[in-house]
Amino acid sequence: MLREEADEALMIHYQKGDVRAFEILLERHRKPIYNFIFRFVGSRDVAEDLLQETFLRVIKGAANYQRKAKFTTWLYTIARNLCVDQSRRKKHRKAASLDQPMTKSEDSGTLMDVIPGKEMPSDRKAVSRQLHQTIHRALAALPGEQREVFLMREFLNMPFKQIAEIVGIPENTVKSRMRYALEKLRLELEEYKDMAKALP
Amino acid sequence: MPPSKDTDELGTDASASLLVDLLYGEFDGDAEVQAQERVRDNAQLHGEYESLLQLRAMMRELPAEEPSQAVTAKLLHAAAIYAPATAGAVEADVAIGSRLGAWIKRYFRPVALYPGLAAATSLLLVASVAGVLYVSGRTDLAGPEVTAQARDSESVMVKSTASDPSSGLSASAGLGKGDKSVAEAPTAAQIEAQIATTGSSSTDEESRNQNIELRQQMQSEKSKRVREQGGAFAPAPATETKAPQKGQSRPGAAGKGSRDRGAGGSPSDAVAIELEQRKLKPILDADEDGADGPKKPPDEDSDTAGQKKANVSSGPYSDDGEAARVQSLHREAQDAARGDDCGSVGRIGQRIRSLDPGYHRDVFLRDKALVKCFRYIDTD
Repeated sequence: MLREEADEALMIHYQKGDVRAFEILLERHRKPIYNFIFRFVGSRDVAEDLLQETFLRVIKGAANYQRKAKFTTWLYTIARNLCVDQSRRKKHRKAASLDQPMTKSEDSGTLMDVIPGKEMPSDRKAVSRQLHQTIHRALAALPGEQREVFLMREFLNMPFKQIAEIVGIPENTVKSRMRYALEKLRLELEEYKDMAKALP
Repeated sequence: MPPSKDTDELGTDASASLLVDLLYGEFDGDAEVQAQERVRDNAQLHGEYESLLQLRAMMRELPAEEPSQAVTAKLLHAAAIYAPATAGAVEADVAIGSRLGAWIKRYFRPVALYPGLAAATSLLLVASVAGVLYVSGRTDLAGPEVTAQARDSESVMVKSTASDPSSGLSASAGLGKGDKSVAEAPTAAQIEAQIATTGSSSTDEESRNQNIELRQQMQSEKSKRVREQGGAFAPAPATETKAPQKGQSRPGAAGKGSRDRGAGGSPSDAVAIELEQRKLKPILDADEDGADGPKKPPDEDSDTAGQKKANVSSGPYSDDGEAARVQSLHREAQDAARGDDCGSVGRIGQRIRSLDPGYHRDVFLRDKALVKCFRYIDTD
């Protein structure tokens, strides 16, 4: 059964023209990759574009794939590089003012209106939504080098050694970046501990 | 991570690394137990560790997002197109498709642009197809006829080659094998076919029959003269009545055509026809010589005629000296005819006629070597 085969074996099958093998690979990795990208860039549209670009690069590079390379390392290296490039492009864009209207209409709200405040919401659904927004904002506030390490370790459950391979830095540096990322997030989300405890 | 009194004992980096490794399960077996004991014994480290556990719990609250199915479909389509083993084939198919499309566009675009041209092209196509069908239909009609003719000729050829030529001729001549069974004897159609395939019946057989007839007629003429001289009631020779019968039953007559068809009938009719033939025969023979295939040399013809003369003269003439003179005159006439001296031929003919009218009528006037001089000869 193709479904029980490792990623590397599936990739070899795809090299031989078995599209079903690629379908299984896509099924396995599209959701984690998409979430990694989405939490990295903070935008669903951009995340979908980068997800598509990541797998297109896998398709085009399949002919040159060698089994000795771990598939997930290759896959996340592609995704991480695309995210880094996207972050660099984003930095050169003019930052939108928090006070300016989101549309040309004078009655439309500002960006400040949609950014969650620190007030505790009343209903449970609103609490959950606010907590998610806070976490996303805290993640977005992390430096890119810390964010990528944190996302890979926390959400992809990737060993530090593999993260070091993907990022191309020593494992200790990865752990150090992880430690700084955790400390910043902890301080950022300290106020929401009680809110998180309230959620089931 | 802010340094504390407890963590200072381990060192800031060491304590931070300890917490991260313990938080994400990087220790193995005993190392994990030892790390947990250290954290448990150190209140500050324990507090930080609990705080990080809560942070991780918060992160797990984040729902996993799902990419749109459109992206998945696009990726599967791209994977099918750009699959390494089939990419070359797909590109080749695309190239072939583009070439075919270009060819169709080039040749059919004018037709599509001008409806009149399209209609004319359609008519032309219909006419072409109809023409082809008509031609093929005619060929089919002509085919069986040709085949039937070929079959007939083939059967004739098979019959003519299967039957023994000698037996066929002998049967047609009625010599020797007259009592053969019907199955063995060739049918009239076979004989005709054989004549048609070989060109004519055997010349030797004809001449033999002719000699027999001539002999019989000469005998009948002689007996007639004897009757006229000796008495009107002298009995007619049996051969006089038999000759026409023989001529009638002569198998070769069928192959000779319409000229000999009048050979049958009453004896008086046979004589009249024979006399008529004597007038026409030279002309007919001349026509035959001119119309038929390869001719024998003139000497051969004259020799044959001479042989005939010898055969004939040896029979009915009792006076050998007279017969020899007549034959000598005949040879002189042949020599004169060869020298185109038809006047001499005419004079010699008159002398032969005076000596032997029967020989003159039956032999001299039938000599092919003298044909060209017959207009100088009194044939009455």
